[in-house]
Amino acid sequence: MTPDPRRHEAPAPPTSRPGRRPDESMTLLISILERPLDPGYATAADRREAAGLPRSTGTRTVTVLVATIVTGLLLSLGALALRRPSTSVQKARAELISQVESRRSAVDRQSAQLHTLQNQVDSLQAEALTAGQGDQAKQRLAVLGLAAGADAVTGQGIRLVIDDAPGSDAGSADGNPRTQAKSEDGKVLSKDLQVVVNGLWQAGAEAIAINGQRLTSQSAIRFAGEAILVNFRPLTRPYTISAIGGSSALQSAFAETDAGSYLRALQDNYGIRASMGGVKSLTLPAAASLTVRSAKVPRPTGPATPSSTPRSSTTTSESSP
Amino acid sequence: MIPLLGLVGGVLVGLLWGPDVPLFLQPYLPIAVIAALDAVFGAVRAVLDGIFNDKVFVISFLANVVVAAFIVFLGDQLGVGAQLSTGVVVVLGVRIFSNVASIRRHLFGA
Repeated sequence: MTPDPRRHEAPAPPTSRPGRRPDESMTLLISILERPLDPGYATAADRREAAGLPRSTGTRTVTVLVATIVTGLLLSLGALALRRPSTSVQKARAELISQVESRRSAVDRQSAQLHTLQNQVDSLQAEALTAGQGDQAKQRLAVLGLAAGADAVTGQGIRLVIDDAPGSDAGSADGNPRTQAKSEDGKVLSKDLQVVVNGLWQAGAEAIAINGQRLTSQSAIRFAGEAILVNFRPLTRPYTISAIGGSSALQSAFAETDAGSYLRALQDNYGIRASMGGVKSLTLPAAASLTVRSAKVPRPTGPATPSSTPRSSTTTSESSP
Repeated sequence: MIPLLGLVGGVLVGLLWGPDVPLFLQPYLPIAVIAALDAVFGAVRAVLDGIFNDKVFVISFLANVVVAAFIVFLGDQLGVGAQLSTGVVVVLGVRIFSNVASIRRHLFGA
């Protein structure tokens, strides 16, 4: 082993007989583990030594430069090409997020536009009504607009805040189906809100909004997954129901309805929190979307009023959502 | 010095030029990178051993890359591409590790 250039080889275990190793059958593993260096280097060095040259060519040659450039290129290309999948996922994500944001801002823009257009319609309507023989029609329009939820309303009223039973969130967080089932009991359901709202209508409320969503004859209170939707907008708890009406009369009348006892049962049996209070001045916004389903031109009143009829046609006497 | 300059230059060219690797070459890229790394570490060790030879370096580099790519290609044709890739990675990885260990002994004497 003396002039061997492969001097980094591990020496054979001392227990073995010379020339024969106990792990001789595992030549592949031995050659991988003990001779990691390309044997070509050693033989080339031996050849150069025999020819009288220094053993190493040195690293200052054009070949080395070219080879290292190619190696660096390969490394960076590999890094770039193999990192691309994750960046494309991020790109798709960013694109989706920007799409969501742009759509959202478009919705905001359009609802602002809708609002100004509605104001225009209102002022034109008022103009048309004053021009013609409008007094009766104007009064009728005001009443119908109130009932239909087309106009914002301000007045005395009550505010009813309903919330899930305390601790119903903590139960659902651990993902255990049993505790989840228990916590479901303490949750306010869409049905509860429906019953309460119908009770308020029954008690004589003139206008109702839940969390700022004005209820009209076409509003639906329904469930979508975990969330309660009103006017197709998801609501978050607590649910604040604002109702316009004589506050003390409304409160006592509501307590006497079936909905009042239903709400008390919810409080007693499921721990759902509810608090009711009179408010001196409540303002309910106009409903976001009123569409004309049917319209007709009134015969005897003349040409000045048709603009009022589409609005009134959205109203029905049916007041439950 | 020259090899280091070459490496840095190559990396810069790759980053700035950044050509797209054709899709049919992409499966071989990781293996080719590992084979190139193996050749580089082998060369560093040969330099430290005092037996470096540029021709051997270039040939071992090219041969490593080509053979590794060929093994993966063969594996793909036989339906065991992933397993053969793993095999190549294990063998080259072991070689890289023991070469690096030897370089470490040269540089730090431990």
